[in-house]
Parts: sequence; C-alpha cells; structure tokens
Amino acid sequence: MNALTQDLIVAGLLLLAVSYLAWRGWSTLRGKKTGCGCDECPAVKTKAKN
Amino acid sequence: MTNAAAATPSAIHTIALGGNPNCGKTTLFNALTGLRQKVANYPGITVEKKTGRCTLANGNVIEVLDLPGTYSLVPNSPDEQVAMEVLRGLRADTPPPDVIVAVVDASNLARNLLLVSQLMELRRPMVVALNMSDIASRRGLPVNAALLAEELGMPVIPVIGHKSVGIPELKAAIQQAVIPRLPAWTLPGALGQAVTDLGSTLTRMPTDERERTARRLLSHETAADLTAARLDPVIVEKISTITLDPGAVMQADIEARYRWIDGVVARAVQGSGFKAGPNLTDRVDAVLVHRVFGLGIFALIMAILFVSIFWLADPLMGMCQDAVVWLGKLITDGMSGGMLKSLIQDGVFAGVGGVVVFVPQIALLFLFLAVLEDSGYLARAAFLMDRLLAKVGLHGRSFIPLLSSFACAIPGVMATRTIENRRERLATILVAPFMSCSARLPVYGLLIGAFFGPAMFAGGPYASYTWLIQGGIMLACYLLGIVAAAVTAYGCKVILGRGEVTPFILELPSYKLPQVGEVVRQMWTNTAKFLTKAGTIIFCLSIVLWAMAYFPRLPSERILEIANQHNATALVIPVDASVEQEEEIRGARADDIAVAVAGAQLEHSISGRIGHAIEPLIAPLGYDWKMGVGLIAAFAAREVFVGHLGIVYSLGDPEEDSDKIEKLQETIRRDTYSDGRPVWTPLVAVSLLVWFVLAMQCISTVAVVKRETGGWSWPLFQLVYMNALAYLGALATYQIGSRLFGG
Repeated sequence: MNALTQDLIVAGLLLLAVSYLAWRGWSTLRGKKTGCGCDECPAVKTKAKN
Repeated sequence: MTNAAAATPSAIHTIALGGNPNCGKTTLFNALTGLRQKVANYPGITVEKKTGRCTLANGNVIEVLDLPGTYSLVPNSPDEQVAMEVLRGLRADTPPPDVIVAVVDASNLARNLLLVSQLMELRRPMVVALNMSDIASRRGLPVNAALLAEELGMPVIPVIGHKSVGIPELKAAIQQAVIPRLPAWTLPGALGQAVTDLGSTLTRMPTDERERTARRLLSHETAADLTAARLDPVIVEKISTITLDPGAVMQADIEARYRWIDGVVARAVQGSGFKAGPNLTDRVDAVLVHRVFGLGIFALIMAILFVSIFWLADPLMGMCQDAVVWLGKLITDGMSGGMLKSLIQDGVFAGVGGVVVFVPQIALLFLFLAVLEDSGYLARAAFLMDRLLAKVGLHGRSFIPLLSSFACAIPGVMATRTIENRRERLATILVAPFMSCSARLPVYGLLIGAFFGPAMFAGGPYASYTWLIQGGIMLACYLLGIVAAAVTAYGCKVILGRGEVTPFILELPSYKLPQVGEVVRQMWTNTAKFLTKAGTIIFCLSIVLWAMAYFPRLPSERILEIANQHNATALVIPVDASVEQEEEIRGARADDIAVAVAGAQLEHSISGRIGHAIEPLIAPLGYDWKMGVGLIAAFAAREVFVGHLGIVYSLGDPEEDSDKIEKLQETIRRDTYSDGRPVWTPLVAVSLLVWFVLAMQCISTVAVVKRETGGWSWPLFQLVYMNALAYLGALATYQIGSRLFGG
C-alpha cells in the first residue's frame, strides 16, 4: 500500500470518527441518545423493538 | 352491580400491565413480548412505561405497556403518576389501554386487590394475571383462581412469569377480557351521606360514575380527568359546604374496600392461613437486617466482592489481553510501516484494546450485583441503609438509585422517580454520580494494578496479600465516592432544608435462589453495553487521540538534530567485543535515538502542546502533560484515560507488544521527567484515583439530570461542584501526601 493510499484511508477514518463523535455528543445533549454508547439503557429507552 | 361486557378481540390494540411494585409485571412483560427488560427482586425497577409487542392466539399483534408499580391510583411519586395516567388514559403520548392486565402477587393477595378494586372502577376490560401462586401455596395460602374469577367477575389466570407458565392461557384470556362487575361497598355514616349528596350534583356524568367521582373529589384527588368537575362552580360550592377531612375520606374509602377484599380473600383462599412460626425468610432476616450484624455482613459482602474482582478476573484478563495482542499482530503483521499501521497498532489497539482487557472485571462486578439483586438481598441492604441515609438527608428509597449508579449514573438518576419528596429526590440526583460507575473501573484497574499490584510487592513481605491490598484500595475508591455523596447530601439538607420527612416503607421480597438465566443475562447486558461503548465512542476517540498525538510531524531537521546529539557521544565498543556484542551495542544506540525522536514527536504534537498549556494547572496535583490530556479526553468517556495513555506511551515506545496492559503499567512506572524524577508514583496514582472518584465527566449524565430536574441550573451546578471538589481532593491528596511521604 503506497503512502498516498494510507494517507487517504487515515484521513477518511479520522473524518468519520470526528463526525460520529460530534453527532453522538449533539444527540446526547438533545436527549435523543443515552450517550453512553448504548441505545438500550433500560431506564431511558421506553420503546423496545420485537 | 353492572353486567360484565366483553372486549372485542379485533379491537384490542393496546394492553397495559398494572400492579403493585415487585409483583412480577416486567417478568410477565418479558414473557409476553420476548423482550429483555431489566427485572430484579426488589421494588422500583421500572420507573417509566415500556412498550413491546405481543401476538395473540388469533394472530392480532398488540402493543403491551409495562408500567411502574403502584399501590393505588392515587400517586405519591413521579413513577406512580406515570402508571396512574396511562391506566386512566390521561396521557397524550399513549393511547388508553383496551385491556388492563392486573398483575397480582398471590402471596400478598389482599394488598394487591386494593389496586385491582380501583382498576375495576375504570370500566375497561380486565384480566387478572395471578403471579407467584407457587409461593402462596408454600405459605399455606393457595388461591383458587376459579373462585377468585367468580368473585371479581373477570378471568383470573395463574402464571409463573419467569418460567412462561400460563402465558398462552393469559393471551387467550386477553382476547376475552370483560369489563368486571363493579364491586359494591359503601362509606359509613356522614361520609357516605356526603358522597351521595355530592354525587347528586354531578348530573353531567353517567349515573354509575357519580359516586366514584364524588369520593375522589372529596379525597382531593388531582388527576386531570377531574379538572372539569373541580372547576365547576356548582360542584365547588357544594364541596365547600362539606366539612370533611380529605384524608379521612380517603381512609374510609380504603377501609371500605378492604372490608370487601377480606370477603373475597376469605372465599378464594382455601388454605389454613399462615403457617405458624417464622419461615426461612424471617429466620435469615433476623441476621441480615440486624442493626449491628446486618451492617457488618453488608460490609463483608462488599469487601469480598471487590477482592474477588481482582482475584478472579486476573486470569481472564490475561486471556483477553493475549487475544487483543494476537488480533493486533494478525492485522498489522503483513503491513509495511507507516501512518496506517501506526493508527491501527498505536491508536486503535493500544486505545480500545487497553480498555477492552478490563471486560472480565466489569463482567464479574455485574455478575455479583445481579446475584445480590435476584436473591432479594439488595432490598435488605436498602432497609439497612435507611437509618444512615436519613442522617444525611436522603431517603431509604435513595438506596436503589444510588446502587444503580454503580453500574451507570443514568438509570440511577432515572430511578429517583420513586422518591416522593422533591428535595430528597434532588439530593439523590445530585449525589448519584459520586457512585463509582463501570466506566471508572478500567482507570481504577490500571492504576491499582500498576502501583499496588504484584510487581510492586514481588519478593516483599506483602507479596501474598496483593489481592487483598488491591481489593482494599478498590473498595476505598467506592467508599470515597459514598462519603463524598453523604457529605454533599448533608450539605443539601442544611442549605435546602429537609422539608416534610416521608416515611420509608419498603416491602421486603422473599429470598429466592437467583435464576441463572436472569443473572447471566444481566451480566451480559451490562458487559455488552461496555463493549458497545468500546466499539463506538472509545474506538472513534482513540482515532482522534492518536491523530492528536501523531500530528503535526516533527520536521526532519529536528529528527536529524536529535540523532546527531546522540551520535555526538562516542560509541564505546570494547576491542575484544564479538560481532554479536557490537551489533547489540549499535542496536541499543539506535533504540535510544528512536525513543528520543518519539518523545520529541509527542511533545511537538497537538496533544503535547495542549498538555503543556494546561500543565501549570495540573502540576500541583502531581500530574504531567500526558495525564492532563487524558483527563480532558476522559470528559468524553472516562475509560478513554486508559486508552489515551496506551496511545501516547505506545507512540513513545517503538518496541513490540507495547499494546499490552502490563507493558503499559511497566512503562508508566519507568517514565521520568528530564531531571530523572519519576513521573508516576503511588502518590500520583492515588491523586488520580481521587480525581476520578469525585469528578463529573459524563455528558450523558448531565443531559439526564437536565431532563429530570427540568432545566440547566442543577446539572451545571453539579458539574462545577463535582469537578471543583475533585480538583481540591486531588490537590490535597498530592500536596499533603508529598509532605508526609516525600512524593
């Protein structure tokens, strides 16, 4: 794998990671997610899927 | 009496499970829906309505609502309010239930029937699910379901929720649910007359609802369905002429219901009554809830729990670590060196892998807690704690939320809904994050393992007591959180006042052997949450932290300069050295240069610059810049502190296997400042432990506290207060400790 390909993959991963964290933080503050990395918190989640 | 009317099966869309706390509603909900909502052998687990789906025998798919437990339809706490509103059909976000399934604990039939008597007045089709009839039979109080059904005028189905016994019959009965006959009871004397008088003014209501509504109005119930009547001037004037104590009306109403219930129970229960003498639960309770022995046993159980976490988890952690290293090698072995390999090896595997190896400790913690929960012991622990909690201004009901917070503060804060008194509830919310949650465990594990582990005591007189020492320090961390919570709660009591003190009434469940399936499920659910977090948030944070420690790259001139500085020192190779020895000496020189370049690269990186910028603030606590950046990163997730150290020390160490947790622990023990002083000492580790015990570093908890308190003031106060306390605590620990023990 050449250096350019490595650079592009790293840049892509970094962008995805930052975007995910930003989305997660925003969702948490809006109360849409538990923010602890888990949507299934039994005390918070009221609607369960079958 | 009103004739029973059946529900139309095709018109059933929603059913609600209503009943007393700890009567088995959620177990039944899980059996009906196939879901896995948390259940435990103590009251107050469900604090919000839960929804699932269930397919009836005729193929209809219906929605099942699991509601918080309540003793009556007159709510005392926010969770009971939810149950009352759903059952009365007063919530905008939930359709009124087409059928109410009253879950009844057969071993406490009379008390459970009080709520049933109120549910019968809602005039909705009903079914009774008679749970725990096996326990009732063992107590000599077998309930005849057919006779009970006859008495209540609706189907009564015996079920054993956790064994799914009676579920098909219950589903069939739901399809044939009927509106039960109205029970007949009258209030005595003047009360009865007042109800009749007021009822006669409620002319806009159907005839059969007037007396019931009058009783509720005279009891000063505040449910939304009474608002129109309470605002009607004619009714207001009528009520003003009735000089009755609302409490007395409510009391008389309950007494009248119990007279009816006593008759029902006498006919439906065929046993000889309670067996003479104390049963097993009573005999065990004589010791476990004893004022002195009880507290001693509780402390002993907790101590065993924490020592076991280290002792039992150690071999499992070793296996976990080997698996992480093996996987890392498998992925990176074929890769040429470069940025991507560094990201995977030094970022993802050192960051996420460093956290994942603590899974066995977390799984064991949850396993022990699930065993204690399911056995019924935790309800006793709440009872034991009530006296202590009351002294600091908390309530016996605060115990379960605080205990839940040992797993995660979010369900802990939610569980405070069972607390009636608002001030006690607020105080519990404010102190819940002091309980050491599972996210703190990897940090405790890393620091305790590095500075109080076998490596520190090897060959010494304490070598045989390592597990005890480690467990003791871990227990001390948990106790420090509890003490901080107690002091804070006491402060709340002094500043906010206690308000009206509400008595603590807790129904102690029967002891039972923990169900293996339930215990394993609880352990797995919580461990899976931790792994999910590691695979999402910690994975992404590890990538970001790696980038912050990797960029910007050190200019090549600087690398050359470092190499030249090392090469300026003459390389001493003995004249009689063999070729292998000469290679070894040259290799050591190359390693020195690589380590120096890696160190300079870290200092030059974004992390290094941020770390050095905040160093003056954290230096009095004994921390260096690497720890400082870790503390900032830990605000996203506390475990990331471990991942961050894994990343920076892995990048700073060109050796293989630098992603092993033991290697990390060894590396941090060896790390020195430029003047040769050790960066990490046991005192620094203790200072960090104090920080992590006391600091509020979880935005999820902030968000939940905001939701539960209805604004930003309390969560912001909590954030500032806890972090200020953590800073002062860590500062005092390091400064006093370094004066006493010399750093």
